[in-house]
Amino acid sequence: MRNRTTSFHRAAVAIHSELRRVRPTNKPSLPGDSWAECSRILALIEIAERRGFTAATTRLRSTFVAATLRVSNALEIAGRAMAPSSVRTQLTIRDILGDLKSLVAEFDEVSVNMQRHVVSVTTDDVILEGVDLGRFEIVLDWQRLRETGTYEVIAVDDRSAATDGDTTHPHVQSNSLCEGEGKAAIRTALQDGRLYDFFILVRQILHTYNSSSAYVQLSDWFGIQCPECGSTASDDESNLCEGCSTTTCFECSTNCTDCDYRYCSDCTRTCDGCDSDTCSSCRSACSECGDGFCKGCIDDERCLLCIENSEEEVAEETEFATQATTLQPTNDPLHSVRLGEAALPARCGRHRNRRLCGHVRRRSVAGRRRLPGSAALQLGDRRIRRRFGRRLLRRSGRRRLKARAVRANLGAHSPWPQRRAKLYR
Amino acid sequence: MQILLINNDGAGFADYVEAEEGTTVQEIFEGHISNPDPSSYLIRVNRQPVPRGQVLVEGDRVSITPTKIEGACLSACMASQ
Repeated sequence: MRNRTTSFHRAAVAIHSELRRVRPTNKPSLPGDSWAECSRILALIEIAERRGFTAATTRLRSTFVAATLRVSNALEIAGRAMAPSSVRTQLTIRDILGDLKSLVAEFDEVSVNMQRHVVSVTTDDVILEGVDLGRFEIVLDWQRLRETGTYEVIAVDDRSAATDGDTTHPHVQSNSLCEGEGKAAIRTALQDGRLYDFFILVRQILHTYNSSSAYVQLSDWFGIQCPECGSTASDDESNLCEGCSTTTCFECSTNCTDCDYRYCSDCTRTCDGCDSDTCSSCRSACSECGDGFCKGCIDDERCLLCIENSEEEVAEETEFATQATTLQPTNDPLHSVRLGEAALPARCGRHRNRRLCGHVRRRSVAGRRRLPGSAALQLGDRRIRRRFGRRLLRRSGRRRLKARAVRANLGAHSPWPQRRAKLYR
Repeated sequence: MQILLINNDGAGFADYVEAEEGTTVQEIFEGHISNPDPSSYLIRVNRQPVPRGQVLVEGDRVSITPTKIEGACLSACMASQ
């Protein structure tokens, strides 16, 4: 007890000399920004009233009142900063000692550290809306009374938010208290050297919760509730969507296969080609079928399925044209084409000596002619057109249906056989 | 008589004020707070809690501190400046 009184007295002397030594040199700042904000809100109110937006007008009026209060507070602070403070000038060592002694009745622990030139107090348990945040130590450095960040608020019991380890209180982050409404009063108390009032003000802020302006809402203190699945996730288990900035749990977010950023399920779509998840910026639409694909499944603005289909159609047309050319009647008098007979070349490649063996001589690949379908059809007679033309149509129709089924990702449950049956009926 | 009145509401205020002899804590409180609700304030005389009817004497230090002072987060503080 005696030791404490001695240390309090020493601290009081040191603080008093510090306050005498350092004169308040900070020039008061005028609330230019707040004034501009008032003007802006007034203009908005005028517009809202002219257009008959009743709800907006009401909201803007309350915003205007808050803005004017900020202006008046700032002006009051500026005025007081310039006026000679009778409290400050009349401050004695006895007053400071009285402040330090009275803190013992208000706080669980009060200590003075002459080496670190700090006075620290420890609050009782801070419980806000049923959430026990534990005790806090308020540490004031009396050598920095005129500076910002002259004190720290340190959580004694580590009960920081699950979503942010640096946030130990809804209004404390990285041991720094955001004073909000108490800012001006705290500044005045420190400038006047009223330590008792300073510590009481900080304690009252710690015991008050402002849900509209908190680093972490108390409802999210033990983790963020995923808006998609409803589960609670901690900071490590949650993900901030790159697209819409929604925080979801890790399970409800997906990696874009192209850009590798993580998105919520609303901001990703499944690629119609390979079923991978892609974000909207990496996803491209095929110019032919209009479906969306990832970068790997699209080439030159066309999806691989459309490219494959067109290549197959060209190949079929080529094949048909080749066959039509092969079956074209020749001028050979020995092989006159009649109804019901197929045209044959003069000699078969395999049976050179047998003119009527029935084999068709195959041409080399380089020698094949590539003809468009219509031209090929013109080459053959009616029978050829009827036979090959229908088959060509059947094949391409079937492929188109199959491709559509694959795109719809229906797999084994694809309705394409039924559709085909309907089409052929 | 002269007393030191400290009002920690709003921008903060601390100055010596004149008061009549026999003025009570409640009278001082009601005279300086625009919306007086004693339950919303911590009232201390010479740093000690006192009953509202206590008569003040020369040189008393009366401090009035709201029980609820809303903090904020950094972004809100920056916006208000």
